[in-house]
Amino acid sequence: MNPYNQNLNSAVCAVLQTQALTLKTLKAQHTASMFTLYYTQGAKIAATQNLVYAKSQLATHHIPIKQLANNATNLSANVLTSADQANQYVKQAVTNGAVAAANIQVAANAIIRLASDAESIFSIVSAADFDSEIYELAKKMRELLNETAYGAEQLAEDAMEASMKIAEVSAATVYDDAKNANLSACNLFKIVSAHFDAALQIVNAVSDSLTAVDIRENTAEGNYTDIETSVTAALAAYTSTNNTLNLNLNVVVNNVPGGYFSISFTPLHNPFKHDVANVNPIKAYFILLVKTSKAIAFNIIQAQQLHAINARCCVAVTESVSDKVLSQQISTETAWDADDEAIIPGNQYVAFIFAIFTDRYKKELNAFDDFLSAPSAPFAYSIPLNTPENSSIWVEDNNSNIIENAADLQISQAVKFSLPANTPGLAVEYRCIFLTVKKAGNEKLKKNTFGFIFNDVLAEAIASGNYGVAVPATGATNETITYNTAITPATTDNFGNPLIINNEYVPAILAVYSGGEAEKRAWYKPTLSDFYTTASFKYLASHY
Amino acid sequence: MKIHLSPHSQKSHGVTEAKKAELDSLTSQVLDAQLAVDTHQAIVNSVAAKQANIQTLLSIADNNKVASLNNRNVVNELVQKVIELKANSAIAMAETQTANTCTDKIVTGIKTLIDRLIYSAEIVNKLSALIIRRKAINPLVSDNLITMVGTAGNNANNAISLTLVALTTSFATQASNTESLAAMTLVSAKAKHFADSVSVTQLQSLPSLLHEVYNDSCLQYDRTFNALTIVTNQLNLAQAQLNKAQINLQSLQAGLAAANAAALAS
Repeated sequence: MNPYNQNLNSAVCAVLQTQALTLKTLKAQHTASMFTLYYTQGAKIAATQNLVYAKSQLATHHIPIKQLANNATNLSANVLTSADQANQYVKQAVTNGAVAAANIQVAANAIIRLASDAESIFSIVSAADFDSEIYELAKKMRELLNETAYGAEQLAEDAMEASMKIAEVSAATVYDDAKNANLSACNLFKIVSAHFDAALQIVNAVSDSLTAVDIRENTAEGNYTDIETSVTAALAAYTSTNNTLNLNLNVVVNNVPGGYFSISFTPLHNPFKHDVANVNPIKAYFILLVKTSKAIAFNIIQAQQLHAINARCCVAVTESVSDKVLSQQISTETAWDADDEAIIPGNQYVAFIFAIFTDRYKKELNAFDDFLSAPSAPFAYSIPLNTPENSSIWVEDNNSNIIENAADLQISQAVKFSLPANTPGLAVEYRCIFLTVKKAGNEKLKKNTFGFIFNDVLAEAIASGNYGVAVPATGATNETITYNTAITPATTDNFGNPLIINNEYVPAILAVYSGGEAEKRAWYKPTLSDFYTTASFKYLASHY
Repeated sequence: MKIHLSPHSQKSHGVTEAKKAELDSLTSQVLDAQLAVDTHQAIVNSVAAKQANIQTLLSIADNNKVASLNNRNVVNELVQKVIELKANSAIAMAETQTANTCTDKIVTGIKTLIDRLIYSAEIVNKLSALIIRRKAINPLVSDNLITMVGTAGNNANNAISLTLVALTTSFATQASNTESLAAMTLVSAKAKHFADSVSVTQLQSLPSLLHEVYNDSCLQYDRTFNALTIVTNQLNLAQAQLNKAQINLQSLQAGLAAANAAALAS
């Protein structure tokens, strides 16, 4: 390139680099804000679940128990009052009974004395030979008083027995029983009231923490969307600059097995249209792939040298989409970089366009250098891992007659999925992640909705305690392999909260390379199943 | 790593190349082993944190279980006491009824007694009057008899007055006994109502709810305990794998160091 063009190229590179750097910084911030948002949303979900649990404990247990204990205390106090009164009455009755018995005895004695008087009078009257009127009357008196005295004796005996019977009434025992029952009821009320207060306090505390978390979540969400807007703007700026200054050079990576890069750009033109003969000043276009780490140092001299030796890294552009767009597909399997090394998955590359002007154009300007574009945005190819289709993921219960809420029923659930086998010898781990569903998808609502942001980057960051590793079925001979992840009491959701009975969850499957070779880690991109359309399931009580 | 190639003969150059390849391979193996150690360390850390979390949940579940067992015992004690109260108040009520039957008999008896006594006393007075009138006509009538009928009259008065006292107190006894019966009947009815309200057979009663809470807390404890067992096993397994990876890394590092030393020495 002649010095003018070199100057232009330097300027273009500088502009693009500055914008790319801004974009990169913003993207890093975006990722950071995404994690912040994700964890705040997780905290909110945990706080919401805590509140639901605390409220249900309060409603189903603490409130009715306190009410019933209060009732029992009232009833017992009531019985105690009555028992006290009955005891007082019985005490009075005992006293009265004893007095009555004594009085009756005294009266009986007096009657007996009278009867004995009557006896004596009758004896004298009989002896003194009175007339029949006195005799008969004395006789009658004697007989009547004998009978009366006999009755009085009988009554005295009965009164004694009645007094005894009254004294036998165990009113004091009943009163003591009522006192004990009342003490016991008051004690219970005290205990359950304390529990109720504690439960109420928990509800308040959890509610407060939910409010706090909610505010934090709103802030995090605001921050996240702010940065997202900035990223979009920065990307637009970069695209616009790249479009105008760098041939709109664009690389699309197709991460399919045996993937390829689709590179497109705008052809160079003579800046003056009237020079019809030289409207297309380019003889040939070549694409050069350079490691990102070496992109800054790569220059036209190196490009010319590589072209001169006809190096295999110079890919001639043979396809053309239209007059305005040229494009070329480069297979990752047959491509070479500027160092004459094979394309390695996971490594970052940039593309350069190397253009050779026509001799006529060169002569016209008396400039014999060719053209090298500025580098494209960095890109990398990674080998996709198989992940199950949403329709191939299901949850199996070991008990077909499931009674919901039956706490003492033993149910074990397992997530199962099937998928085509990966390349033989390739170690892939399938992580089963349980996501709390906000609203499960149905016929009307096609997609599941979640109360949090989720994607493959977040999925990969989940700590190993918070997912289950799926185990392949043994003895599978055909090309489709079925995997199994048991759900146990130790199973948690993606945030590490234990699964809640009767809550809805969606299993998401993340495929990650699990081989031991460090350098191959970057080759394989972790792949996440489509959790938006995977059927949700209800977590049922299981003991084991 | 940088290997200094010695610019000697073709032969020695080839040896150095082989050594370099060996060192590169060892370095790559060390890197892989380091990755395995890092991976297992991350798993151990995560599972250990999870174990600690479940341990906390287990101690909460344990506390809940102890508290709900205590509540269950307290309510069982209450139920027992209320059942006793119900039984004893029923017995006391029957006793009061028996006593009441007795006092009923006394009040009827004392009424009959006082009626008979008054009648008899009238007869005594009538005889007394007859004898005194006869004495006025016939002085031979014994003075002793006159004294005796006088005494009998006094005694009759006395007996009537005492029997009237007995009658009053008997009716007072019957009255207080009737009150006792009414009060005891009320106690018995209330005790029965109380006992019914805390009966285990009721769907939403104190014992049934507190038993339910206790059973729930037991289930929660068992589930958490099982979770702890599962995670502890996972942790042990992860720790064992980490140890294995660490040993492998150490031996590879030692091998690489030795090979480096040898290469530098040659």
